[in-house]
Amino acid sequence: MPLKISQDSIVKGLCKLTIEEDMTIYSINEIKNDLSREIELYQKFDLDLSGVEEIDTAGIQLILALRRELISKSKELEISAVSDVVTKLFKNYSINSLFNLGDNV
Amino acid sequence: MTNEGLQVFSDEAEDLLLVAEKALLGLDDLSNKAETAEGVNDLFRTFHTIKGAAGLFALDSVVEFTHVVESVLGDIRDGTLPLDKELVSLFLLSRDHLEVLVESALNGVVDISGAIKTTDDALIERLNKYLGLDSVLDDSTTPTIENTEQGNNEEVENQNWHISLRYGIHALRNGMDPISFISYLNKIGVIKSIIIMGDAIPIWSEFEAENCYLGFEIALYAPNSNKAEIEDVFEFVQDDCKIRILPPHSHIERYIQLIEQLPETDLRLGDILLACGALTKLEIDGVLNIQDVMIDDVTVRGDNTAISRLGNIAVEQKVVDQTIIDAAINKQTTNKLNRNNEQQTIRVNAGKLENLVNLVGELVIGTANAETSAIGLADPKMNEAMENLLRLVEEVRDTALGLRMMPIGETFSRFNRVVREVSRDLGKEIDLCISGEDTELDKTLIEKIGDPLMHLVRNAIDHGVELPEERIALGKPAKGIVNLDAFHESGSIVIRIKDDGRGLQKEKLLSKALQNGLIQEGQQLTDQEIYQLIFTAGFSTADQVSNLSGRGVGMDVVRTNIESLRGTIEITSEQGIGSSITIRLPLTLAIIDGFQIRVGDGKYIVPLDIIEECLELDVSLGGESNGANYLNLRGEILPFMYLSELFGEQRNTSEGHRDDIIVVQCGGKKAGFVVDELLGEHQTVIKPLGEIFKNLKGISGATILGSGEVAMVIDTPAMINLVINAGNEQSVTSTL
Repeated sequence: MPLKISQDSIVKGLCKLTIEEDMTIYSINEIKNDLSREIELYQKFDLDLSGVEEIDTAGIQLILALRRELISKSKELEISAVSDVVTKLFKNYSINSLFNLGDNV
Repeated sequence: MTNEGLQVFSDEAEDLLLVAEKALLGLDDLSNKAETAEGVNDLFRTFHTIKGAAGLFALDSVVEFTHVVESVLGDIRDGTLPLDKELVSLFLLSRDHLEVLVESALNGVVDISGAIKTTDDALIERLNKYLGLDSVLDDSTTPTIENTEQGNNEEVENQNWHISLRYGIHALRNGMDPISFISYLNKIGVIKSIIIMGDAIPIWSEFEAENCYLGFEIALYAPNSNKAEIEDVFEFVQDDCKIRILPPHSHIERYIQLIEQLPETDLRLGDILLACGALTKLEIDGVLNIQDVMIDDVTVRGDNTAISRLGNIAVEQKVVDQTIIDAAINKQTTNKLNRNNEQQTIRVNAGKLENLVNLVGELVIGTANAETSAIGLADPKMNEAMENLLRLVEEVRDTALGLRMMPIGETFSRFNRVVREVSRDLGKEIDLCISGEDTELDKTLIEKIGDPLMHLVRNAIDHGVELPEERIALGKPAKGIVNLDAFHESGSIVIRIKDDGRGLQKEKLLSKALQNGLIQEGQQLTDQEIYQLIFTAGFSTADQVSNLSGRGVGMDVVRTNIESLRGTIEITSEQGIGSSITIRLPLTLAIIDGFQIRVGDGKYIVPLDIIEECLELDVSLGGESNGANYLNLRGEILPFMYLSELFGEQRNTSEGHRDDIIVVQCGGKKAGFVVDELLGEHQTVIKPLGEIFKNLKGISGATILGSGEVAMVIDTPAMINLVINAGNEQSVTSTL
């Protein structure tokens, strides 16, 4: 299972989403379905991508879709950690600024 | 390499790719283990064959790519990698890409570039993942362009290409990851800025994660590229992506058009273009204003004028690059050339041709039937019309059969390269001499004869021709010669492979055969019988197993293949001088000119081509008088046989009955068949006999006569051997 979900015990309403290993077209539907349940339940989301070993444009698109959805519902999304492959793709697509990741991540 | 050679490869590759597609599409039920394994095997073989053939023509791009595919297939075949749906679709993509590669290689493209290269890299990367290899994309290959730092701030809006991409909904699913194209853009220039357009992403509940909703606005600094080069990058994805490319220094109207065409709102696009650095704030304001004016124009003047005006803008603003016009003209010219080629040859489904030949066969039988009735009517006018019809049918028959005939030259010339490479590997010097390449034979025969020939040629090089030093020591020229020859001979095709090597070594063959228990100690064998030993399964005299030959499989397969074509194979050899292998194949497989004979109550057909002469069996010829069925034909000994005895028909010994003998010749052997009556020529459609008669010697098929009777077609080579052997036995008994 690429997606792990845990509720933050300190900050109320914060959901920590950890995506691991594969974030490509092959597993993207699964991840999306798993996320669908959670985004209704919480107010704030923390996305941990440090365990992602593979990501493609489908992965990026999912993050963008998630961001748009959450913004439209006035919820918050933050990316707390990224792996090298994610950094590379984010840079290629120049979307670091969308997630306050800066250029040095 | 010759064009014909490439054409052969092209046809072969096309067929193989079809096979691959079929095999892949057959892999839909992965739970069926046996079927899947078979499919994977088929695929592996197919890709392997393509790789091998492409290697012969040094089509490196094809070889490199196929190699990766083959490796993955190899892992699957060995069971180390499970096959899943993703892999199957990846293989389908690979197959499609291979088709593109083959085509571009055939068009003389040595180094793949542009979109093909992008796809190549993307697919290889995906395939390599299955092999446990890492990505091969290397950042260091990104070209560095001078002054990039300064360029960033100065005149940005002028010197960058602006590329708008809107991917189709299936792009991701089709394996067209935008990132690979963007990575490739980075190779032909520097991406100054890229903005990902997620506007088309629907709300979460309607968002299908596997669909692609993305678009990109890219500013590319590539001063040395032209529009065609950039378009090439996206050539492969054209169906999956809407691409708009604006050259540097594009006029403002081009941006207006762009903004009009893109799905997002104008204001948003204005912002994007601004962010991309494509336009300045001032220009943006200008653009949006002009557009308003133009919209007013539309409302005022009506649609037609507005459209023509847009067209004018396009022309005025040098929308179309000169190189693009050139390319378009080039493409049109090639299309025209291609069309000319098409007129020269038409590729026809072999099944249709088969059907035609079968129908012509029925037509021949039908006319024979009509002829019989016409003769019965004895109406001169009818007979005249019948004659005419028969002649036409004969022509139709010959033409229909001719459709399947092809010169053997193409098959022969393929061996040039084989001989060169194999002899180089073995350190031998060998010339291949080809003659009779215009000899025509049935296409199915050509296809089936290729492999056995290849085997025989390799054998000649490996076993036959000696090393240069040995040859010089033997007083032969250092360079060996292998001859490939084809010609027609009395109704059959003869293909001969001859070398001037060491010849077959009888002692070696005998001792090996003794070892293998194929013959007994003290058994006397004729030279022919000794030579025939090499066709026994598992027989090899090579001291060392080389990768070419020596495994003892092959020669028996060669013989089986040739026999299945109703052909014969014969060896002559002289120690130290060389050996020659002669293959005889029937000219056609379906319709022949036959000669009808009667034996007892039965009617039989002998192929007309092999009949030398017909004579009356006269006592003066000798005949049975000396106990054996031999007669003296103008000083020549001719073995003969009463067909009536062989077929168990009643032999007519009544007074005044005249026995006729037909002298047939095949493969240098002659024999006589004694028959009761000669009935004359007959166009014969050979119908195969059923399974029950499979092992029947001397009969190769049956035909239907005009009267509706069935006549057997005599398998002459087999029958001649029968006659000669029967004669031998008799002569042996008579001497005892």
